[in-house]
Amino acid sequence: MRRLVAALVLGALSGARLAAAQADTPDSTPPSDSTAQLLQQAHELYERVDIERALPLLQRVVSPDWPFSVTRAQRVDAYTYLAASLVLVGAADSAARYFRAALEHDPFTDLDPRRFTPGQLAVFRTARRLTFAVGARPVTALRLDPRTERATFTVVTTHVATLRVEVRSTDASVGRVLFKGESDGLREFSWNGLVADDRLAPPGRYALLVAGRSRLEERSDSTRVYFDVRHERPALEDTLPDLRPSQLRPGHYPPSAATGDLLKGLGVAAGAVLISGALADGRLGPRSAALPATVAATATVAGVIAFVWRRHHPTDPGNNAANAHRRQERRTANEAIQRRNAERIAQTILLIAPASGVGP
Amino acid sequence: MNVKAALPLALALGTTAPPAAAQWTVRGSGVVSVMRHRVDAGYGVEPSGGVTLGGELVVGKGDRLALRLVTLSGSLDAAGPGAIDRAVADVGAEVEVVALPWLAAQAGVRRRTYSTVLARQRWTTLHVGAEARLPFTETGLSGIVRGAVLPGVWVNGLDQPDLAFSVASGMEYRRGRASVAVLYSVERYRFPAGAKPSRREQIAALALKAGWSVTR
Repeated sequence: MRRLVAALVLGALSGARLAAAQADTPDSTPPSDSTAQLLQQAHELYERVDIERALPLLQRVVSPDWPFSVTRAQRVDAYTYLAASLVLVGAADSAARYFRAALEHDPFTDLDPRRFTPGQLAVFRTARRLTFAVGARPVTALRLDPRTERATFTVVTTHVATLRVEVRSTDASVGRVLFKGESDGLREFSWNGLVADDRLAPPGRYALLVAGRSRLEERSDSTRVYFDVRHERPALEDTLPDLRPSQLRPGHYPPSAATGDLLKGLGVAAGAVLISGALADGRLGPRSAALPATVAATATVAGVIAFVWRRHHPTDPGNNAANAHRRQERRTANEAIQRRNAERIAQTILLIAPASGVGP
Repeated sequence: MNVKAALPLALALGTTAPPAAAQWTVRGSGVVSVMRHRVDAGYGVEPSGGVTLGGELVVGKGDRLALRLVTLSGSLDAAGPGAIDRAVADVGAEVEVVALPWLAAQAGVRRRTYSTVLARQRWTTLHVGAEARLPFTETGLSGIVRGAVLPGVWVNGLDQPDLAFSVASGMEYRRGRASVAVLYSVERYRFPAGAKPSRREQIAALALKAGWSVTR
């Protein structure tokens, strides 16, 4: 037991010594496989102006041999501090090359004048003039009332350029141009939620398209950022369908309709005769002719009158008026529905969310 | 005879205007019928006839379903040797379901009483049938043809008939809330011979109906 405790104490002491030794030699193997930790270590050395020891760490991060994953932000950070360090050791050309690499990876790269020297800022400005790139910040989730609010997109060019910024549905060939002209550096553009024809952007996938052409050299660059638009509004009502022919009264009758009326009248008359004849019980004495004759005569006269009338009046003004009245009622109802829908559409809220590409 | 009266009533029922969907329609009608009653109970034909008065109330829900209540009463005077005067009273209920725009199925029950100086005879009948409507191009004018079998006929003192049916034919015209109709109907029974002689009975009627409807 005593041997075990002694071994643990010795092990702890040797581990502490090893950690202290590593802290004293920052250019040796990093304490862990974290790119972030190595960058943090380089930053601390840079802040202590220990450039000779910071440079190897930064070079390791940007080296193709670096075995660990490096995010774009970490790579840009490494390029920036590497360039800044090289300026301090008098290697301005190399510094400009790394600044350009940082700008090509992220056009939004910039130096804080409070933290970097005028010499570093000068080399960075040179790098910006020599590099051309455009960038756009990712769209953030947003709930936008297009009547009173605007969505803001942030765009940058590394130096003065002719810029075109456009919002376009991925299903459309024409978009709404937010800006077209000369721009230099960071710039914000607002979008009112409308598309090219001044209508509210329908739900779907959209892209912010940024295209720039350098004014200093014959170079162009473009980028795009995707986002989704959804609508939030009260449910809309369906308009009533058009009246079908079966729902309307006939307004004009063909000659066969008059014949049909005559046949119906004669059919009813024949029915009355048939009932009093074949269907009645003949063994109960002579059939009464007056009762069925009354109905038969009525039906026949009705059929004949209807036939003559319809032949001379193939159009039914009453039906046409009734049809027109029904159509007008339907139009009025649909107009009211459309008004209510328009009021609801006017209250539409746009829900904007970042997206990853043209489609899923 | 009463059955005859019932036929016009039922016909009138069939003429109930199809109201707009989900609307309630109530139609009240007065019915005047000229009836001819003939019966042969094995002792010769006994004819009688007369005029009956009645009423009809139809309650419709939407354009598919209707309930019809009918009643009539009147006197049938003897019209031949051996016949005697009789009074008739009838009440019935019927359900109508519109299967097609021009065709409706009907089923109902009737209770009828014949009263003479000698006796009182009660009839209870069940009927199942259909009514076809033949609309003319003139709005509101229709021809009517209907028929029904009577699978259940209970008459005190008689067995079930081996033949029982009713048929009718007529015209109806509606304008606005008002309607008029004229219908000719025949109701026929044949009771088989058993301990008693064979019995045949028939009621023919010409009914004139005038109605008024209310929709809400």
